Amino acid sequence: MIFENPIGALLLFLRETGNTFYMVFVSTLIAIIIGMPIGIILVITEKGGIKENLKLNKVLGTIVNIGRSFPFAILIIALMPFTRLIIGTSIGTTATIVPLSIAAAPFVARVIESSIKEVDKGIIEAAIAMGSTPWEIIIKVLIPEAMSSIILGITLTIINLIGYSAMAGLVGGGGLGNIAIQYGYYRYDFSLMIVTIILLIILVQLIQWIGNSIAKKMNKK
Amino acid sequence: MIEVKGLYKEFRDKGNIVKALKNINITIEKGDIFGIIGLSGAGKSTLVRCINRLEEPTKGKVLIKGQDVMDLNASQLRELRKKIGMIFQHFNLLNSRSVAENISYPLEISKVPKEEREKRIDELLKLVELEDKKNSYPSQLSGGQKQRVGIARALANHPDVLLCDEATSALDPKTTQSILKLLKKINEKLGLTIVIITHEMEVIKQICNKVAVMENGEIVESGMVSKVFAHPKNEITKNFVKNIGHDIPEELFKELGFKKLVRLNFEGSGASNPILSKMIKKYDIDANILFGGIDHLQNNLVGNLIVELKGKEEEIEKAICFLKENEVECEVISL
Repeated sequence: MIFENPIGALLLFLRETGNTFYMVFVSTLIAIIIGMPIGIILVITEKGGIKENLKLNKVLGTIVNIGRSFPFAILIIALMPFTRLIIGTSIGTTATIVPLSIAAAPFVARVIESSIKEVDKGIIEAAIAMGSTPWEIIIKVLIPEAMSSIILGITLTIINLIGYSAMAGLVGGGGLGNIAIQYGYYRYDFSLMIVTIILLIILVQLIQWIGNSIAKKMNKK
Repeated sequence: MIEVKGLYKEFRDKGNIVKALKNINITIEKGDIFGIIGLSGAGKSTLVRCINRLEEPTKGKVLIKGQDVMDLNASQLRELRKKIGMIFQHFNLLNSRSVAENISYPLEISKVPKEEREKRIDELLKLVELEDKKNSYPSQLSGGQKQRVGIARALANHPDVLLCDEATSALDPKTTQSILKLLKKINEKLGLTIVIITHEMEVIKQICNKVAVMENGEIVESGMVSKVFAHPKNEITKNFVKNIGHDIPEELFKELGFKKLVRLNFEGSGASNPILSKMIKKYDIDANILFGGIDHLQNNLVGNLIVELKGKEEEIEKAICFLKENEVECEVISL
């Protein structure tokens, strides 16, 4: 296709790169909105945490583990009724955002949890000794102190989601991964597949580089 | 100011009950620099953490200005903590915040308006002599500078008490000196009550007026620094006193072949009276000073001498009695 219709191919790549960005960034955002509070709650309710609550910790931990156990392809199908309920349809690019977000949220929760666990216990103790409320500790101490590590974790999430989003083709979604499957794999158009893969490599490199730079800038240690 | 009454703290560790504090009673007056000295594991850190309830005592009372901290609910406790500054061995500064922002933290949580915060930060930076580091980050500072930031942060909300948990233990001797000087200055200038936890005798000697010696979760001796260290009663206290430097190993005396050695401890008037020379004139003995020194502990002279006494046995006995009558503590070193 590249050789017979280069302009068509270019437009296809532009459109599907846009679709990939759209799916990945919206679902990352939603995953952070869902996963971040869960990650924080997991840290503060653990043994010795600032709001110790072992029961809640166990329940949330189990839910997160269940969420992470589902293979993504199964999750897309299992979530179809739910997707239809909130998007109005269970197929297409926008519809893919629902399973992508749900798949990424527990991952984000664990990423945030492990980043915040790295915060020096002494700093938290100092904040308590100064009379901070648990909320102040979360907002002014835990998140800012863990920010550099959180950024790296979110970068990891975005890159994972680029991989997952390739499966969007299963439910008629678009994106770069879908080109590789639809044109490259099903139609044996290897030139298209190779270009797609090169584009994905560049995209992943770029995102990792941006993530690393932001994390480095945030890290005052 | 602070009264600790019948305080107990027990930890559960894999089914075993560890008694970290046993029946602690101390009284700290306003303006005191109260030292709590002990080896690691003695329970001193636990004790200081019970004062602001970073640790929950198992039993007992902690009264601050007459108010039992055990009676406070969560929000009252937070208000109390804003009035108790605390500094730590490892400084515990926020790495993501600059020096000024670190000092700003306690002011922010006390809802101090921005302009006032700026003013207070500048005052505090001046007090701890770090004006030029205002916008640096903790990672760019030396240990001593970090502790100065810690002190400025602890003082931000005009506390009544400053708790120091091994605040100089991670610092080199010279930096320790400068931090101790700063604490002393704050104590004198602001009339701030300071509680210091340490395992270093130097710290107590330098700035404390009162001391409590801890061992195995108990206070074995306490009182004015000069009294406690001039007449150490407990083995552990004696060991700490030896650390000030006026002692040499007793084995050495053995090797040198001395016969009758006496260790003399005296303080205050005892240190300024020529008691030894009076003794020599009064009794038919000779005194050979082998080792010793006189120290200043909180404007009080404290002396520690090791003397060889030569003469008839009964004369020596009488001489020792004479010394004891003159408030000199004598301990015959058995060789």
